[in-house]
Amino acid sequence: MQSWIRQPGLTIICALILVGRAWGQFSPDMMVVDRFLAPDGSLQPNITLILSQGKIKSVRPGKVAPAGQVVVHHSGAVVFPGLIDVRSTLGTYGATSESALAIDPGASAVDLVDATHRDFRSAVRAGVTTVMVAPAANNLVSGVAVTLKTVAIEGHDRFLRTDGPLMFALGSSVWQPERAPTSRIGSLAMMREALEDAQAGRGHERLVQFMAGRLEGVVLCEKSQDVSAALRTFGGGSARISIVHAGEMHDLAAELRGKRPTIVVGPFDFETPPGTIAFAAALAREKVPVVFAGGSPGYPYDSIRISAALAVRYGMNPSDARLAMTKRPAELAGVGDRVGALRPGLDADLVVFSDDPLRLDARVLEVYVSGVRVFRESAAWVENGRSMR
Amino acid sequence: MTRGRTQVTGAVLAALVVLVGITPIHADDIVVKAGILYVGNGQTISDGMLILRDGRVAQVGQSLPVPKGALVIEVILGSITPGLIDANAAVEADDTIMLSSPKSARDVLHDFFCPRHQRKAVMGCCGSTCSQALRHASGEACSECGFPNARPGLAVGTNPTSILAEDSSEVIPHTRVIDSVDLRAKDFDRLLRGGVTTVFVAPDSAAVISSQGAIVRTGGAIDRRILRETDAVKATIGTEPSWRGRGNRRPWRQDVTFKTRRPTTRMGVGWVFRKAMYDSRGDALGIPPHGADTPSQAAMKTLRKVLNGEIPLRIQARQRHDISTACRLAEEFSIPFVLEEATEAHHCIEELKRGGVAVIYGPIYINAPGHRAWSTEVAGARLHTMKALLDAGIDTALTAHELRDEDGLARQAMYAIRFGVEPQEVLKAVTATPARILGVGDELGTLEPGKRADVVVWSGQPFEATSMPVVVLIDGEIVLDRRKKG
Amino acid sequence: MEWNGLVAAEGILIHGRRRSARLYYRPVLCVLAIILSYDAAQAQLFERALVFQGARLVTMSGDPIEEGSLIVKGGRIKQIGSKVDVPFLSKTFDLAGKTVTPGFIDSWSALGRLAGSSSADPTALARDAFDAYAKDAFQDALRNGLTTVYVGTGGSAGITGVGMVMRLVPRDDGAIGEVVSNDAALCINLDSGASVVSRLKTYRSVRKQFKDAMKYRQLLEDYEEELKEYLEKLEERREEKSDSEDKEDAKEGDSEEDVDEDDESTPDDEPPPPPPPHPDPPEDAVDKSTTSVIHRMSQDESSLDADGDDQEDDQDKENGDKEDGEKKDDEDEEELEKPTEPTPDRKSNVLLRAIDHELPVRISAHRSADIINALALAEEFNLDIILEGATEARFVANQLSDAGVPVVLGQAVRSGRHVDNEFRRHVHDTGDALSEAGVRWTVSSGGQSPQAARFVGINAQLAAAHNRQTSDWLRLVTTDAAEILGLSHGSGRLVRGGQADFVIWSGDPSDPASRVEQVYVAGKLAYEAKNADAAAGGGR
Repeated sequence: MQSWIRQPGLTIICALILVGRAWGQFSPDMMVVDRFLAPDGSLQPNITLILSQGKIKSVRPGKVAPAGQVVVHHSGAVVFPGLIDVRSTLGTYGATSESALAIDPGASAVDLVDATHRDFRSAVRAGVTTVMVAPAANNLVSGVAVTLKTVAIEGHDRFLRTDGPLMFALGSSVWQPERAPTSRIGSLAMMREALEDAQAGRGHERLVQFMAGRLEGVVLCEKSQDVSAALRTFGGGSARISIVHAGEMHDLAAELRGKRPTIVVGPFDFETPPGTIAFAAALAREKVPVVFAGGSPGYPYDSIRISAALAVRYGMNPSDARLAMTKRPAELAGVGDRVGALRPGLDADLVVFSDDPLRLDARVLEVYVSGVRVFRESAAWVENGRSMR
Repeated sequence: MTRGRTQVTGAVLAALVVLVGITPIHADDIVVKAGILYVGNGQTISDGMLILRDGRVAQVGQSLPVPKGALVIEVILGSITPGLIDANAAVEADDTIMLSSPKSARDVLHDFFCPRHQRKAVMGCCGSTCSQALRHASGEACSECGFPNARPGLAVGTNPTSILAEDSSEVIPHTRVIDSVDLRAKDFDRLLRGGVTTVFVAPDSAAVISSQGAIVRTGGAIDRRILRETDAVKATIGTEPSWRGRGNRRPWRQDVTFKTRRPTTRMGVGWVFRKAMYDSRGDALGIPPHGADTPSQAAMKTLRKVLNGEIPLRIQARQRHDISTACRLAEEFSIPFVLEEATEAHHCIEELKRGGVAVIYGPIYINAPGHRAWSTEVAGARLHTMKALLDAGIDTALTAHELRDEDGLARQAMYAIRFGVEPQEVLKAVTATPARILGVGDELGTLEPGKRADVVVWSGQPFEATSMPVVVLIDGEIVLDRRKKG
Repeated sequence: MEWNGLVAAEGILIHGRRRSARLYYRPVLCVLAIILSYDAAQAQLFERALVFQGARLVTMSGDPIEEGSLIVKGGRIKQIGSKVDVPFLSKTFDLAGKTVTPGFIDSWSALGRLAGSSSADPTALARDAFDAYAKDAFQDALRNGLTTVYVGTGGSAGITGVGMVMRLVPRDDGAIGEVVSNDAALCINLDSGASVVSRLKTYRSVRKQFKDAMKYRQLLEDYEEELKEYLEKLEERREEKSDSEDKEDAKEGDSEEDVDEDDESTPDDEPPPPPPPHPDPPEDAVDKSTTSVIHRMSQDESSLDADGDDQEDDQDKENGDKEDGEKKDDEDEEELEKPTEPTPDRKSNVLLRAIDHELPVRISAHRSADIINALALAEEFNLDIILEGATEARFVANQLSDAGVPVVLGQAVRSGRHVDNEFRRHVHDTGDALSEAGVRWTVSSGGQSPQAARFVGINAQLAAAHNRQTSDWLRLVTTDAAEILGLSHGSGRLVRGGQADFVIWSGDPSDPASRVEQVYVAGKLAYEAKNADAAAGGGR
């Protein structure tokens, strides 16, 4: 008897909550911060960001007359573009690749991701606003990756890109039971064949586009010989690749021979041998673009920053390290025109740190996605943060 | 008094400056001197001297004038030879079993339990050299039945030491062994320390027609290591290519898997070879190939190049009847070939001479090392085979295949000398002859002016048991230096 | 030394005659040469003090000293301050613009632990599993500022042994490591990663071992008392005997039987002879169980007869010694048995030291249930415990605070993946909960991975980032760690008279671009950047 009375009551309550949530979204028009990430990777003082409709409208040095809702951060705070994790499996359950076919360019990682997964919120708390999820390295060509934001904001795209880059893999994980290839010899022969066909216009659309230079590729390499093989096999033509390699190659410089593919290193943790970390630093010195992988959620969400801090400790230039967390991963994922830098026209995905994020004792103070504050370090949030995990 | 000294010092310094300014300095030159210099073509020069410039041999002789500024390497009691060339080296790779680890094959076998046959089975892997050595799960590969799903990097099949590479087909000449080779592997260091400067990386013998080999330097800058990316195609006649299919025989195999395949006998091996060749030829003439075990298009394309001689062919055969089969098959398709291993070649001298076949013989053994220990083909191995081949005038190169260090190429040469071959002939068999067989005879193999500066300086006579390589140069660069400092 | 020759050459008689001062040169020089040939003497005489000037000294004992100076000699800090007296014969280093901090302390480390070593025995020592020659590992650790480690035994369940504290001092033989304390703590692992049943068994086994130790103590105490009684009684008997012997002297010659009989038989009215001066007869050791004092006689040995409760022996005695008429009389007398000493139990000895507060106890527990068990253990046996791991400590922070138990946390951030192991409820801000409850805590590398030890400073920074009540991460790995480990006041600090373990940074240690340039441990240069091979050797 009471149920039918409750029903409209519930509806009213729900409506109020929804409205309240919309009102509850805080979207400042202006941010004034002590320091910011400059385009060259250094930290420069005094910045005012003017935000509008989820994008950065302008970036002005120094003080500007306040207008609208202003957020101010002093005491050495640093505003950064949201961090980008290009080796994430957030939102996926179980196996992330279809291993029946060695060459499977038609697959798309957007089918793997559950955008409502609760782990996304933990990533936000660490300052990661964009992730690229790719199928696992179980095929020579495993499909295209998907790049999405870690928080959904009403009225704004969550998925930044669903059609690229094309993921390749070399190494022992490609050898799956009951199908070819079962060795590196076989892998590379098959890969070469497929690429040659694609060059001639035969085969899957995506491979043809890749060989024509209209779709970029990312090669997951297990060992240094796989990196050499990748450079050799994908060298010709307009095909553009980035390389993901978690190990070390001290003589990589000799192999690059003028090429400058982006190399994704890490994530580094406390077990990583010093040679591997020093290798990342050496790459940056050779002017090779470096990206730090985050590996979330398998690795702690702070891993991008930990990798960067360790690389700097072992010799990397801090500016290169900061770019390796923001601009370069955005470019690798092909969303450099949407996120990854504090530039007018880009999405207002921002993180405010209490200090230089390369300092691991710096805390995340606030996180904004598409101009809306989605995380703020306060007592209430800390409580919620605990219950979220 | 002090002022006088200062003046004298100043004068001396001035003179030195002038002298240095006038005299031409060849900073790139390296002079190598030793008690005996073996040129590699039979010529011996006592108190020999080499002058190397820009990575090549500039001068060879006795008491040559030393250019100013040259780096002098001298081992007074030692000897100089060209860098050794191994024309059939099995270099380790993660996806190919290598038993080049110091342990014997038996030591690296691991026991595990096969759930299907409910018994302890034995599986081999390459011990210290294989990074996947410990990734065994129970039930992976039963030595009785070749239980499928063996991971790459682990031996599978009835024989625990069968070498396994690309499992998808028996005919894979379109693949390249260079793709499997890790140039940074420690195996190359071991070769280098044994005095071997250039190797032909041999494809595995698990397939009937296996991959294309590569010619690789064992040291030096990584971007100059590969001398030739693709070279000869290797085929195998014998039992080894039938090991993978042995599990197909009833009653052991119950279900058909990816690994179910022919051949399971020598007959099958020969058949696969012939079918591949016929299909390639036929495909070019427009006859569509069909039936099981048809090679892939890429494979046939490569085989056509083998048929018309663009790509050389090498055939591994041990026993005399396998050698005969090889000769017969080559004759059938009119392909010149090079014979590898040739364990019982001493029985086939006439046939080989008639066919004009070059032989890459080795290793020399009585107790077969490595995976050969499980093969039934090695019972006929003899120690005088090398001598028999050379005496008959057959082009023979000596190889150590997967053996290293104290069983390596230098030691093989020592055995050859011990069992009757002239030292100079042996030296040729490890330098000039393999260079010629590999087709790099104009760049490597001897220490003649214009050739690449691959030099090994030994502490004594080259292949004596008491001697070892002390300095090794590749392309004029010192890659190994064991001389005591200071 | 040829005195004669000297005499002949100089023409001077020495013995008792004129002496010349020059004659004494040789012996004096010889003696000096002998003394100076010892390195120690040499070092003491010729060791120069090291003076470091102009750096920012983060002493962790008061405010940092800007542009301060530090004088090191004999492995200790002789002087520290803004102004110091530079001693004569010292070597000076100008550290303008650099920062000096104390060396880091990893309070739960696995550095140097040889792979595969695990122990499940309270008598095991972590020292035995320490590889002092793992130079590369130590260089990397020093490179990141680590100078002192507590290394436990790393066992998987139960009482696994005794841990040690080690300083990474370079030694002359190329090894690294000088033990500060060989038995720093008893290691107990309550194996929070295992199944419920396993954890139950582990806890029960730990409790049992402690109880057995208490029983063993009781056994020892009982034995002591019984021994005391026995010896007293023996004394009495001997006195009686010597009294009665005087009476019996006359009788001795008459009884011929005494001559033929065994010496074991005790004559009439005579007290049994005192026990032989040699150690206990072997048959006491045959019976291993010591739950009660057991006595057993063998027929052919021992000077004492069995007590009346052992019928068999009585029979034997009756049967075998029938000719010994005097024996019957012995039954009437009260028999004395020497109490059997309990078999020494080394394991219990170690546990007793823990019970007596001579050895702190470190318990590794992650789940809140296991933490509660640990606290119960501490209370039951009056142990002085330190908690390791403590992933779920935030749920039991008040209990920890009440018990006054300090906590050593492991890695500050963990994988985001939800794995069902002991870390499944890990949060980044456990430290805040502990601080609020008033529990002392610090972070460490986690005691599992030897490689993780080198990044204990980084771990501390992460902990400070996530625990807002902790602002200074340096404290966590210097003073807080030293306090929890119970090290001397000079550890983890730069104080006068304290240890000379310090790290020279090119800038602020919190600045990511700042590098470790040099590390001194016990006043010796243990690490130098860009020349990491020059680790061994003194700081000359």
